[in-house]
Amino acid sequence: MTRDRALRSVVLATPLVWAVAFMFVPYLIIFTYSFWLKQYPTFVPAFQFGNYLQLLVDPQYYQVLLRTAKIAILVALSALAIAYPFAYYLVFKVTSARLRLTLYMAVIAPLWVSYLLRAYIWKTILGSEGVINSFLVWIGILDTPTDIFLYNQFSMVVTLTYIFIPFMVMPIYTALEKIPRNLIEASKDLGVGPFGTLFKVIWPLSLPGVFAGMTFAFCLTFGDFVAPFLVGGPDGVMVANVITSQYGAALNWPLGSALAIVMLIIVLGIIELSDRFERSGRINLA
Amino acid sequence: MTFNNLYRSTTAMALALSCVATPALAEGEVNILTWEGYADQSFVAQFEQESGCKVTATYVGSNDDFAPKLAAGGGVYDLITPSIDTTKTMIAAGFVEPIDTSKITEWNNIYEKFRTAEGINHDGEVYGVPYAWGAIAFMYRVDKFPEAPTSIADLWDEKVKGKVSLWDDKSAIYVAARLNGDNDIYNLNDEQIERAKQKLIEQKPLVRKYWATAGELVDLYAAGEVWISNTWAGYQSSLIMEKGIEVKEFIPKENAEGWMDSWMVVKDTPNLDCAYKFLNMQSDQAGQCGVANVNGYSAANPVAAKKCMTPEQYDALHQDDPDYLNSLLLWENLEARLEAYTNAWNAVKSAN
Amino acid sequence: MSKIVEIDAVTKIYGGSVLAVDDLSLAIEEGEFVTLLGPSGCGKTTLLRMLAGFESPDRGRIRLAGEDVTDRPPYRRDVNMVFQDYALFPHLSVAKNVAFGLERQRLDRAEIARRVGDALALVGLADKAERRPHELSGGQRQRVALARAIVRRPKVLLLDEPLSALDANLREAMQVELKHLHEKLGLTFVMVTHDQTEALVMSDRIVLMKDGRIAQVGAPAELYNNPATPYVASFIGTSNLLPARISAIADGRALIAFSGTRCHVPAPTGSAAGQNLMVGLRPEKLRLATATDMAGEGRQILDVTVEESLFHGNSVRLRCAAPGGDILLVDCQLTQSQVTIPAGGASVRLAFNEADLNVFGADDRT
Repeated sequence: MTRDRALRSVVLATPLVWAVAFMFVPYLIIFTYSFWLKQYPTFVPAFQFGNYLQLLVDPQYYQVLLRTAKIAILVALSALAIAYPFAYYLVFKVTSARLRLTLYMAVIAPLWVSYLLRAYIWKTILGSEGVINSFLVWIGILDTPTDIFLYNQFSMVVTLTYIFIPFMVMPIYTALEKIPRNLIEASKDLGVGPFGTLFKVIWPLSLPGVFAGMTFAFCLTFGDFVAPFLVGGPDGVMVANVITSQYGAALNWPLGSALAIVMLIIVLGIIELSDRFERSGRINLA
Repeated sequence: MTFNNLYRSTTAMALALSCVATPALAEGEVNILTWEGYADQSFVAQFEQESGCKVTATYVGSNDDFAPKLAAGGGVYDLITPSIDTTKTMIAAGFVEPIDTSKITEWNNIYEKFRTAEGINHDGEVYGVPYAWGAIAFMYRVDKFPEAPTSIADLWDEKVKGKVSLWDDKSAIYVAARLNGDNDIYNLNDEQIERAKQKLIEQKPLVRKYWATAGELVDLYAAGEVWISNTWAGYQSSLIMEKGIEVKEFIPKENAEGWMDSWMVVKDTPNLDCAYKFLNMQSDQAGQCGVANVNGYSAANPVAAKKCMTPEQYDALHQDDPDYLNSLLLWENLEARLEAYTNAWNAVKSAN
Repeated sequence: MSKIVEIDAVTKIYGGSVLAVDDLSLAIEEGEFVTLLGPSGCGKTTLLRMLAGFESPDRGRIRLAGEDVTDRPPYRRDVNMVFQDYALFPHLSVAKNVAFGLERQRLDRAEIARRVGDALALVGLADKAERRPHELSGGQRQRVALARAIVRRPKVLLLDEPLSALDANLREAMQVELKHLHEKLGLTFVMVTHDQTEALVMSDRIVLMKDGRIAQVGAPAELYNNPATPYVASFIGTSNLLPARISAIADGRALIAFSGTRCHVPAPTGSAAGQNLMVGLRPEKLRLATATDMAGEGRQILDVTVEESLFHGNSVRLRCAAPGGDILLVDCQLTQSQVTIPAGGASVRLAFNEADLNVFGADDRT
């Protein structure tokens, strides 16, 4: 009896200890650093809001935050634009269960492939001597290769969209699959054609999946630092890169921490917002 | 830069594994945090055999990586190789301990300019063993420039729009400052830094990409993305040439920065014995020609270098050319001004 | 009356081999309440879904008010369906659910609101207009589904097992309500059910199906009293199905022998003496005879032994064994004049009228 209880408390306590040790403690450390003071050669403990003030005063920080948000929104929207029709096609148009599974896995499988490798692939596709340019020159649309495909925000959006599409497809697929088929029949029965049914029935009922996918794509993009490094151009720096630079080059952990805290608050805000949306739109499908 | 660490540490792990696999007579060990090539198997393997000290290397992608790794807690590394602009920070932060130069056999053969450099001397103590040096030269694709570029201004030329690259580093501020005629690049005032910043923002539309790692610049040239950039002289150009693309290095009329890397001993290392054995190997023929052959850098000990280099190599690496060495603007520690430089550089990258 | 639905030699095959509907033809009159009845797998739902347009026939045509709609999608057919589990849109209010089908018709807002209000009033849910479906009870959801389907004034209202999800009491009330609604609206109703009581109570005509074909079509009483086959006789109500043999045939009448008795019945077409056939006799058509009751004038007497007596409240069901071993069920209404109910083991005499016998040809066996 007591041994059972001891065992149970161990089982329950383990994840809690894990969360405290590996999540809350690091957050707490970063939070503490954010009030410290940069002082050559490193930084010293203090309690002051100078770092946060600097984030407000120096335009580079909100410029980067805005740029990061813009890219994250673009990634979320383009991932949605691709993932939704794909998931819709899988759920409603593919009748063979095996084909459906194969196509689904084809989208999910890249998650097991290295992030870096997947980002690198886009360099070879979008580059000046890459696949697209070679093709456009070959068929005569271009005289000389263009550099508009790579090392700019476009290539970052393309790469990140490609990388985060599985996170968009999965929740949307699940949401679409949960929609009872007879609701779609009912809509058609009531004189509403396929498009009307898509917008009036399927889309609203799949919104929880859409919100979940958009949140994934937005937050993952918001914290990304590899895409700017690999396929971003001179205007590609995002928040995570600035944080990295503050921790490294500038050796200004306090400022980096303050920026990390601001970023954390934004991401948590987005998650909370999406959660509320999802909750208000949550529908009893029973 | 964290990506670098990730990438490098994977390589380091592979290396560490391969070290485990060698039949080591491991009597001791030495753990180093350094640049790729500085602990190349081509010369370190023999050292391990002879000394019985197992060498484990972790690589950095930038000078900015040393402080964070050491600040995160000690006991991991015994030796580090920061550049002369970073050494002073290591000393000031108390990360490293003085070196007993009497235990370095080749000490007096090292360029005096380096031995006495301010960056590695503090309160009458020596903190670094100079190892390798070079210039932050400029480089261009020979086939794309009918007329050889001679000035930094050539990287601000509309004609090379979309084909320019600069090192993603505070050194970009040095470059722009010289273009502005502000030649005391390590002591720029706020106004001069602001001017350099504006100059760099003005250049942004021409820039294809800021390069962050040596390999990245090589890839950019190889993929035809970049025609002109700055470079770690001797290193990337040879890698690019190997890929069949002809590039040429040049020192612009606005001059070039010079760098020098020194070995430093991390405070309270338990592996002092192996560390000194390693320092002696590195400052003598094995290490000096090793780094010259692997990385294409010039050696800090011209006496040792002369013994193991061909006259052509000796000449090409400017080992007998004090004027060249003295013309370079040898990196200096920016101390408290570092923040102003890095903020300006970050502001350039953040600008729309 | 004109034919509103014409199903002409329709065949539906699933997966290349499962014959769901087999060369079936049926005409439905305007204003009729027709029930498609049968066990699961008989093809009734498939037939309904073909009317709605959710399935398309492999062969044959379907006409609606004279127009061929076989190849039209569901949203271009003037029919509406009440789904088995209602299929209400969970993200829309009751009023929006009902208005859903009207918004595509070019009606102004006021007209839509009026019609939605009328439909909800008709099903008694005027006060629930702003509720969400999950806030309603099963019966209320059913009414919303009904309102949503009739608000478009379809030519035909299709009902797919509309009452199956309701509990027994509610189901009975709704049967009546649906029937009244049908009378009030004057719409053509086509309902699918597997519940014979529901079919008998509500329909003008029942289409009893088996294996994708029609077993018999007719008014409830006709199917009950004159089942065409033993299958019909046993599916609708209860029937004692007994093997019989034709002893002789004369003047279109046959003398048949079964369960130790002989009867004169109209000779089934194509029958001959010596042939085996089947007779059906409803349990309520048998009654306990008194000792003075005699055979004659179309009345027959059977001597049986009571095996079991089951009390049903307003009636008693006797399980009796005839001399040949045939088992006969007898329903005795417990009226005041009723004789004492015999206990198990008692020998009793049963009386019935020859006219109440259903005689099935040998090939009707199934």
